[in-house]
Amino acid sequence: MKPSRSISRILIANRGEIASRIIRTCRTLQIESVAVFSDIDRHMPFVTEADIAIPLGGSSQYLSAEAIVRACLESGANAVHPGYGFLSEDPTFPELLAKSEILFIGPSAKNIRDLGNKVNAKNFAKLANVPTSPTLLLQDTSKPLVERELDIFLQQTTYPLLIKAAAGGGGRGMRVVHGHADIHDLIESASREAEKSFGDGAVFLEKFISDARHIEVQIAGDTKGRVIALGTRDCTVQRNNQKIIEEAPATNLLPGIEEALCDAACRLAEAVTYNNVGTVEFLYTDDGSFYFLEVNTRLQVEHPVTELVTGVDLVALQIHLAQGRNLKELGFRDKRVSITGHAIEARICAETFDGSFKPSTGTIVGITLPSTTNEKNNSVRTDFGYQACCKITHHYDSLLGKLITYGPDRLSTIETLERSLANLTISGVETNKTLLHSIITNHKFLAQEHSIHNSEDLFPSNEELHLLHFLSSAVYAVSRILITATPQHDDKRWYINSPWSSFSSHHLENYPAYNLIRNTLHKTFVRIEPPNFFHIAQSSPHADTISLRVTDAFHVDSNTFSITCTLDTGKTLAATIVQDGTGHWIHLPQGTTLVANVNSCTTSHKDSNRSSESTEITSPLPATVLTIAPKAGDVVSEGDTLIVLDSMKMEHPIRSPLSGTICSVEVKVGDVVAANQVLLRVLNSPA
Amino acid sequence: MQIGTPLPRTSTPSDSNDSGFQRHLDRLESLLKLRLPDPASSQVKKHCERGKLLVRDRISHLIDPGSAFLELAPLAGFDVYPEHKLPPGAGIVTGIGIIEGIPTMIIANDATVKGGTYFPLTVKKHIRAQEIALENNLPCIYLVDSGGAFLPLQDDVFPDKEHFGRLFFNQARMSAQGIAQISVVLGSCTAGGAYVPAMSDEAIIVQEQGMIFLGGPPLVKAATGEIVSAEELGGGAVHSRISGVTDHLARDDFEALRTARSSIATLRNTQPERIGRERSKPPRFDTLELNSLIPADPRKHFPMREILARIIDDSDFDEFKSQYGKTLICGFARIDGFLVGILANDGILFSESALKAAHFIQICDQRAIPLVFFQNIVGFMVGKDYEHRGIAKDGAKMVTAVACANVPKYTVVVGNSYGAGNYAMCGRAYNPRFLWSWPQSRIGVMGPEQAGNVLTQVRADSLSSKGEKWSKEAQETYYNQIYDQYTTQTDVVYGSARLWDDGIIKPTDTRATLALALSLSVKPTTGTYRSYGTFRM
Repeated sequence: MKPSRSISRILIANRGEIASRIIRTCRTLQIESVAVFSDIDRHMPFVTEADIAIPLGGSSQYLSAEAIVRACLESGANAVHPGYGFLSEDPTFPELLAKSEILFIGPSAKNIRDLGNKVNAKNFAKLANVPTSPTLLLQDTSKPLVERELDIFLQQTTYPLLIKAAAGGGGRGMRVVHGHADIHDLIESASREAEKSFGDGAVFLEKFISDARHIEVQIAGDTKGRVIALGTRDCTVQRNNQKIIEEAPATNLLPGIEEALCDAACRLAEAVTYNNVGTVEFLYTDDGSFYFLEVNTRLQVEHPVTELVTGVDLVALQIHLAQGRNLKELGFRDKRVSITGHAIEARICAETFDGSFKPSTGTIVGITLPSTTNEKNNSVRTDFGYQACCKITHHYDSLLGKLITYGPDRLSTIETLERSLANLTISGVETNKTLLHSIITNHKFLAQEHSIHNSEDLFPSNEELHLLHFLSSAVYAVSRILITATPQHDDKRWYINSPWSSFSSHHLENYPAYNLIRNTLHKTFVRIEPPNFFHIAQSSPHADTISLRVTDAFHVDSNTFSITCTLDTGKTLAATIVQDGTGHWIHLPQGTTLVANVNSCTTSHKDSNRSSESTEITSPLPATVLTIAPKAGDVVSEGDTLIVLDSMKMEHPIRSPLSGTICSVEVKVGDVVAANQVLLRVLNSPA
Repeated sequence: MQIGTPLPRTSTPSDSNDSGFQRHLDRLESLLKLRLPDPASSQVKKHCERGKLLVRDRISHLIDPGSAFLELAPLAGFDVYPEHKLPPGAGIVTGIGIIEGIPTMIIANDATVKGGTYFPLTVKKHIRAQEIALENNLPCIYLVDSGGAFLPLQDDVFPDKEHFGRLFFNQARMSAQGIAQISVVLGSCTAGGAYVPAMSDEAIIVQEQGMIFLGGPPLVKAATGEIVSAEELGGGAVHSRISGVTDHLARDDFEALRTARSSIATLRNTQPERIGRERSKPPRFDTLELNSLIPADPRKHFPMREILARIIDDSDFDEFKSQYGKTLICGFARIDGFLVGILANDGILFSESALKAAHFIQICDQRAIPLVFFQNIVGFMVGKDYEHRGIAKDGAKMVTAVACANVPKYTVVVGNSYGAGNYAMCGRAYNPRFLWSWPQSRIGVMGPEQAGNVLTQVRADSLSSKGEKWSKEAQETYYNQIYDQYTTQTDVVYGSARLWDDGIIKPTDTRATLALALSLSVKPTTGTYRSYGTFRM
């Protein structure tokens, strides 16, 4: 049968890894691809990968449906793939496209309206006999109204509650409320964030189900009203309500649950005649109960894990379905697609973990992806959208790419992920590699004892971070020595070719390296024991020692150095050191650390007597100033929110570290501030 | 040709040597430890509390990470001034390290030792470092933190040719030759010491820490009645903003040392071509076996070829005149890739050995090949037969050749260094670029026994000529007195404390030490005017 509508050229209304991902399928299907890109993104790989690339201009243009339509007309694209985020869940977008006879690759506007709004979706779920949790929609966030409705709502449920954006996704606008005290502030800020992110400030309250796992079902429906399930995914590991590790299928469920989840998801989709791919999300508790959470009417970030266990190219499926082909002719005869093996995905994000999560920005100076050559039975897939020279700004989401592994069983798949993560090196911007390593090697994760609300148990402890920083400082201190002593190709320098660079005899007792790691000075000293032992002692921030026996060291290129050494435990450690301006990125299997060498240290006695009566409060990250609470002269208490910053579509409250008086406010609302820029100054008030 | 034989595994004499020699190594280790700062001492604590780095830490921040540091005369002054309890090192650290890729002489006062003041041997050590810098064309960095001359010993510090004034004479002469002189004033720098930065090409000072003045506040008050604080008189700000004595004002030691590194980095275009190096090959035998081969007792002979086999590249030795004058081994070899001519004693010197040496040295000089002397010599052969055959004039030929050779010379005293043998084998007086000693070696006009015998004999003869009697017991007491005096004075530590060498090295470090030194040698120019060709001796 001929498809009812033929797609010849697809415009991808997105960027980054998902744009590259969609282009790949276009190529397979021999459909031409059109990329659109903002000024900041012009060096991104997807721009060159696409057959045609159309500049959009400003950074927010991906959100402009009109700009996308113009780009379609300019490029002759007759279909748009929205990816995820941006316009993917805006029901007016397919409608606008339709006016210009451009096909939207995704569900219908009606589907999006029915399910995209979380409150609507809950109502459909109830109709389709899918279990839901108690919900209160807040039409109006004015205080008296909320109070009245809350009273009624709390008769059928109890704290803790969860505030969610009706239009939301990705954790934006989401807040947990533990009691009555701060509910109004939280509703207000959630609503503001929702308005900013989704253009819709509507929020609702629901019962917060603790100790639950996040399980979701991948579905696909055709215009004939037929819906199939492509298995489950477990996305329980989250931070800031955003997924970071996803697996397919969900394992360790009570018997019959997988089937029940798939059936429930299909029922809901059938109820609205859902006609493309989508995801139905549930909360699952280990007593076997599950609650409908929401539907994502689009391709998910974590779709590759489903692709690996089903063998289905979901983007291709989306394109086929959009062209009006039905599931049967596409070969899907069963209600449930069979699953083989296990897949896991780790989201590589530009963010810093130091107890909390901060988006990081910068320019990528180097990126090395792990080899995708198959191990025995296991395979590795890398979905990345960045290359060297790409800028990471706070305009977009922090996702750099995804590392996905596949194998016959969960544990071997996780082991493969650990190995490939160790070989992933990104320099120029801080990533969550340390966090991911910690999670996937945590015994609780391996035993699946975690829930969405205690994911932080899997995060690196302070001790682990200290150890990583010490090890990075030690490796850097040794690499400084080896980098100067190891010849580069055809190196003619006298020192390199002299005995002065060979570690034989006549050395000072130790060679110092004063390394700055996240504003903490690491005083590290290396003692050389010829020919290849390096004993490292650190005197601050805490005393530590380690010995490394370097077995291999070489220059990979002019700014990349590689060291292999044996630790005193007998373990082998491979490290890559990448120079970036005045700092070095130290890549260890368990994480990446930026080390700045401070040859001159300002900890001398002379600085200690500097008056520190007023405390500068600085921005922890590049951001836009959203609100400023106090003005000069105001008295503030420790913990008061002084300023709210907006960065990478997340709100970051800046709280006062002390009680005192505001002496000056250095910024105004709407200002774009750089990391470490002074926001205001607080004068310590005498007790 | 490959030399050396494997060490028999169960050789008993070697075993006994091993333990015996270890005693010398242990003594060296423990003496070297004494030169390091004692963190418990009040001077060290006070120094650190002021935010100042200790002298060796200053050097470690100054040189390139991991660069070797060839420290000179680490035991200088040890036990020389027992009443002043000067620790080894004489309050100054001198040595060569690499800064920004450039080999540099570092001369650094240790303010925690007697306030960094100059004892006579401190002056000698400072001047020796300058001499090495001059001979090897090394820029000099002075890390100044010194109270000037040690006044109680001013007569041995101030007036003579090789005393304090020579420091500045050398600075001026080196600067004139294009050898950069850079000072970092990290503490006080009083009176004569003020000329160290003042005579430098470039001077850096640390604010509120470095002080330069010809006369300090007490002297000023005594002289003119003017009352002035040290900082106001000659602090960093004064000299960087008002007087212009210094060029850079640094906030602390770190910044000052970093500035000094930047300064050295500008010297790239002044660097001379140094001698070439071929691919280095390790000796075929384990260098550690040296410790088994060397007898603890220096009177015992040891096989020099076996020693060389554990020092030179690939144990490959091209011997010259191997069948002639066999008590002196001459030949070509490479040390860590550097081509050298080696002269090594394997017995006492005879006329033939001396003639062979004179011939070989001329060849090396003609071919611009550096000379390395391994001294284990009790002297020239004595006796009627030898005197009649003119051993003195043959020895003179060798001494002439050593003295006049233009190529760089390096000497290692591996055993005994007695009498005219010391001269002929390029002792300190013959200007070797560097001279090192092994920990069991001895140096003197003659050995303790010989001295005891000779002097007792002389005195006995003199007394008997006067008809006086000398009892056997008195003779024995006299002998023992001489023997003890010579034992003390020929001890390597006694000499090293007095800068008769540039340091005591472990035999196992000999190869690496020579390599460091050889690499510094500026390429000798060949074809310099010579009145005669090589004389076959």
